[in-house]
Amino acid sequence: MSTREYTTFYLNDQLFAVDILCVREINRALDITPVHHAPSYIRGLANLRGQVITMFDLSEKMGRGLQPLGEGTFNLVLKTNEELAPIRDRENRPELYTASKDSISFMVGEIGDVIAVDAADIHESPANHSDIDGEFLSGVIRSNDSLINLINVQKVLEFHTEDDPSLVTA
Amino acid sequence: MMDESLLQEFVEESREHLESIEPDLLELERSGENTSDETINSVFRAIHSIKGASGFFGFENLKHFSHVMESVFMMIRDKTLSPSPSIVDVLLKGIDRLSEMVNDINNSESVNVADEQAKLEAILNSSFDADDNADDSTSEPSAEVAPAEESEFQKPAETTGDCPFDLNTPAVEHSVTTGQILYAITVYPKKDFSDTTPIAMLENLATVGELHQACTPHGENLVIDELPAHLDGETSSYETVHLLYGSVLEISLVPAALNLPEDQVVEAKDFKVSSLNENAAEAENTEVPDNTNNPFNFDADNVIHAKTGGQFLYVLAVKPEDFADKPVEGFIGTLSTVGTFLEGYTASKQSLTGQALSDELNNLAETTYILYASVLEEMLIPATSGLAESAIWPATTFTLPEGTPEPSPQQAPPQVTTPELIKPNKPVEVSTEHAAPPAKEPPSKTPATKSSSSGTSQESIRVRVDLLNRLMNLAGEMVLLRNQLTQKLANESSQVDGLGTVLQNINHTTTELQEHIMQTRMQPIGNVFNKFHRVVRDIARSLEKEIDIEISGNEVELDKSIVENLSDPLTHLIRNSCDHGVEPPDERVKANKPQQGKINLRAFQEGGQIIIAIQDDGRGIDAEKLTEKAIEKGVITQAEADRMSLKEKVNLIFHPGFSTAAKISDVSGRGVGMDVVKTNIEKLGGTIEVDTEVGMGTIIHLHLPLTLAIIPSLVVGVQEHQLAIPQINVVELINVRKDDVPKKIETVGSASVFRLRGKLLPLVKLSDVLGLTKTYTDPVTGEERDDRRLSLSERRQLMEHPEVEFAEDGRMMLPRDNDSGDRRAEPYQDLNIAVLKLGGKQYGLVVDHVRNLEEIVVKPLSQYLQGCKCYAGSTIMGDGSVTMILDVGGVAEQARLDFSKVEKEEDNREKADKAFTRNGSVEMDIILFALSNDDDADQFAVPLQQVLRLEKFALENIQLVGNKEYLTYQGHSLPLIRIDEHLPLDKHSKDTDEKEAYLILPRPKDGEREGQAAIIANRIVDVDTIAVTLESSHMKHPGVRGSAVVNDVITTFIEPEGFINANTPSLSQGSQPIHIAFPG
Repeated sequence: MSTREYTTFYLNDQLFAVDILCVREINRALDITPVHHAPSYIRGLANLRGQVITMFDLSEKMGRGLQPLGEGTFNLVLKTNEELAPIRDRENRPELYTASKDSISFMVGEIGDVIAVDAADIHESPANHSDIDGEFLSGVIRSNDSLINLINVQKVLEFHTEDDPSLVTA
Repeated sequence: MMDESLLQEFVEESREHLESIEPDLLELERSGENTSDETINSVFRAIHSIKGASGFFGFENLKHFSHVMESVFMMIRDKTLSPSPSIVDVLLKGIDRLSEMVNDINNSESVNVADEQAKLEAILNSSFDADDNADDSTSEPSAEVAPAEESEFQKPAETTGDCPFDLNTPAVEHSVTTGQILYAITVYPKKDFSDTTPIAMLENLATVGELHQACTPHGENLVIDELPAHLDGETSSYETVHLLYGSVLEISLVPAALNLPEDQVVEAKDFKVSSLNENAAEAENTEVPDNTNNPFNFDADNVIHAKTGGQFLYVLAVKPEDFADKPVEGFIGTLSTVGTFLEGYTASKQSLTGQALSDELNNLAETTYILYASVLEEMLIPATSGLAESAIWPATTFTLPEGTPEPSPQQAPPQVTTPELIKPNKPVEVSTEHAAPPAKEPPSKTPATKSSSSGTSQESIRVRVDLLNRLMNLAGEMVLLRNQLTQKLANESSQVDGLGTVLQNINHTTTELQEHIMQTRMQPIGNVFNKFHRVVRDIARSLEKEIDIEISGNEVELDKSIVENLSDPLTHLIRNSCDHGVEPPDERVKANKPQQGKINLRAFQEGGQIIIAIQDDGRGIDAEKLTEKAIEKGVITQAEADRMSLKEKVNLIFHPGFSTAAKISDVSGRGVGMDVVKTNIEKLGGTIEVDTEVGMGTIIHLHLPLTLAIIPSLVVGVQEHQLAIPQINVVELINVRKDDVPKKIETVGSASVFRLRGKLLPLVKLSDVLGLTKTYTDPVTGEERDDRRLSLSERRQLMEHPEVEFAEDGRMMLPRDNDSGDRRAEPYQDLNIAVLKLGGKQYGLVVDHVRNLEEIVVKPLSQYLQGCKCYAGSTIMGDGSVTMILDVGGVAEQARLDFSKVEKEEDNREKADKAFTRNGSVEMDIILFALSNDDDADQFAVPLQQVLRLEKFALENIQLVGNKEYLTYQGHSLPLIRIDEHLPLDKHSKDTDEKEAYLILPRPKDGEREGQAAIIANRIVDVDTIAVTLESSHMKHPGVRGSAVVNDVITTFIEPEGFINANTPSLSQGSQPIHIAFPG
């Protein structure tokens, strides 16, 4: 059975993971320019070496409240779909999917270890476990006593117009 | 099959040729027979190049069609055909079809050109049935042959005239009328029958067509029945035998069907005398140029084949040192793929052909001149061969250089270009059927060669656009990094020696780098403009109008992507001008206009933007008709229309799906309207404005940014946020001093407006738009801003509902400024207003700070932000921070800015001003009031628009100074005027026992002075919109403009300011009233 690697990180005190193949880089907090009228989980835009990246509040998106800004917050910059495409083909992993064009950065808490997991050790996530909408998780990994929630990146990044306050209130 | 890049080259070249033909054609039409030869020749050359190359690439359809076109041009060139507009029509259409084929070259075979071809052939036939009469299908065959040198049936033998075949026999004619194509087949008896027999071939011929005639290379007719003998290699006395053959097979199929090499079958019309001449040369040696001065044998089989195959002949000088740093094999390989080495000449070894030539090339020991045939045009040879331009000559102009080492005795004279030499070579330039006229032809008639271009090879290369885009992005990022670097190191520069200089250099270099990379994408707008000569001409003809288009500013440069995307909108606008703008000639004459309409298309740069103006002198846009139409179509309602200003009505043409053409013409009015134009222009970051005058014409202005990617922007601040506004939208910046704020800011509807040079400018607060109100201290009204807004709109509602009500304090009825009595102590702040342009409209954006102008690189918005209409994109500033770019239209939308109300208000004010001066019924908003509470009191009216304020006050507050009444109002003494004291009235307002009255404060006309004096009204009767026809009043007094019956009561109309000015002389002298408190 194939082994996959995951980057783990904390949102609040809970451990989450995304497939390491989706991650372009991890860095410390950047200066964020807020964008008024943006959906609440878009905290703003930041400049990453000349590239504008969209700061995505994963915690807020999953209904767990805003990620506090500051020292303890890290940026998990994702590969764009374009960058991911060759990897997806090479690894034959059609589920590896991020945002179409934008450079997205997940704003997360402390970064954990990179873990290697057998595909067999990934279990279906229990419905509504730990108050997280199950649709945002693609599974859970059992590690020692704890559960690591596996983020369904594609699902999380899906953009619905109803998320957009300016479209709702207009 | 064909090298893809070579094909691409061909396509691009052909396109350029086609583009160059069109203006020439139009010139041809304009100047008719007086057109300069140069113009005609350039058309001819262009079409000829296309034909030649397409033949080489095997695009038969393209080749045939361009050939027919060429034939027509040839007639024009030879003055046997005069280019009438209808002929030019056909030719233009033909060019269109050629473009179509070229643009989709791989499907060019399937483009149906039958229509155009038939028309072209009709032109050919009607004027003279010359060489093209054997063309594919329709034309009548004829033995008559044009005297022109291009005659394809010329034949050296005198006995049978100029043509080896008699195309006029009934059999041949029948063959043509039954749809057969005539072919000339060349058979080499000694070579062609290695695997077949003459009889088998003839039988084969008979199965798919009809053999009409046969002749010898000398043009002697051969009896067909004797052909087997003539064709048999053993018995034949001829090198070649030519057959005239009719078949329904396409040319591509004939060689295969007959098992002959392709080059031995040509359409009869393409049949070249050269192939005859090849052998005729032997027979008529005296006619052939003296070869002794010629290093090359131009009569060799391979040379003739190359020429007849449409290839150009070049002479290349190859030196051993050319290959010091590269393998000669590469050179040979490349050139072999795109052409043929025909003959070599070295001074020592003399003529080399075949294997000897290739051996020589592979072991190059001395400078060798090579006769080389290729389809490539001259300008492409240097790049392809890697040789210097100076080492390449068209074979026609080649002369053996002086001082050629070891010149061979008979080539000693260095000038080799004798007339005799040129003649056979010259046509090489001009491929296929015009190639290689016999030497006896007068050289003056040969088509102009392209040798003139030899010195003007273009200093340009083709670069992929995506590469340029990438470069541009990088340059943009470089600029940002440079800015950051400069900022970060600003403080260090004094500490590190020389750092300042380095930074400065980096600064300059980066800027220059960026500018130049930008320039690579800049294209002259002429690329788009030039096609409009044609467009206008075509439309004018189809509409039977006379329209001249004047174009200027072709050289103005814009970003490539903008230029490309301008084509559609501009075409639409030009079409509109032609179709809806310019009237038919008779209508124009009736209107005292010149019969010929004029459209003026110009581009010019103004500041950081390009302005394109499209102006016509047509009938203009009738705003009222437009409005009617819009109502009829349900685009707007009558009520909406009533509220619209003139400009707004004109702007209805931008409404989606709106077309005003009464009739749908061929040209426009299909419902794809100006809204698309507007959208497209706005997509380019531009704006569009229409100005029109009925009967005089219309002018449309497009304002466009120079480039899409980097735009100059105004950086503004609101609270701690920083935003950028594209400069193209910024009209001006206004700073309103806090003292002036109350005077200059008013409210119309729910919007604040600013009086700017007599116009009302609706204001939008950036902080409101961004939703920053929570923490926001309003510079105008302080933190109570929100409350006030509510009350303002409530008051507005009063306006909209004529039943007048008063606020509890009785103070407010009309929309007012922010300076009512109890708020006068409020600390106003200075206002920064950026006046922004949105199409033809303007609004003011109130910001906290205006920072600076900065060139910014626009980054597209994330999909998550697409819903935020206020933003056009984002950018990274010099300090590295991300800044949002405001979308001027989106901001207005977000603020729900209602221009119509403001414009309506403007209109109304204008109307009110005019109301008193105009005759007839005028609709206006008025305040009706009386001077006492008696029902039968005299009724007066003032136009609402001329009133700044209407307020209730307690009569006891009136103070008397002498016999004059004053009221302390907003800290000033306000003189009060009683109308009855100045007019002959029965009732007197002072007699009232009421405790309260109203003061009517007029709106000062120049927007500067206010609070001069107020008129006292004892009772407000109504506020209403009524239609008034003023009659002169019996009361003659300044400020009384007349009377009218309103609600069955005779009402005297007062112009408040005029009345006050007339009755307070002291005020106009500027004296200040003295304050003396007087007990009421």
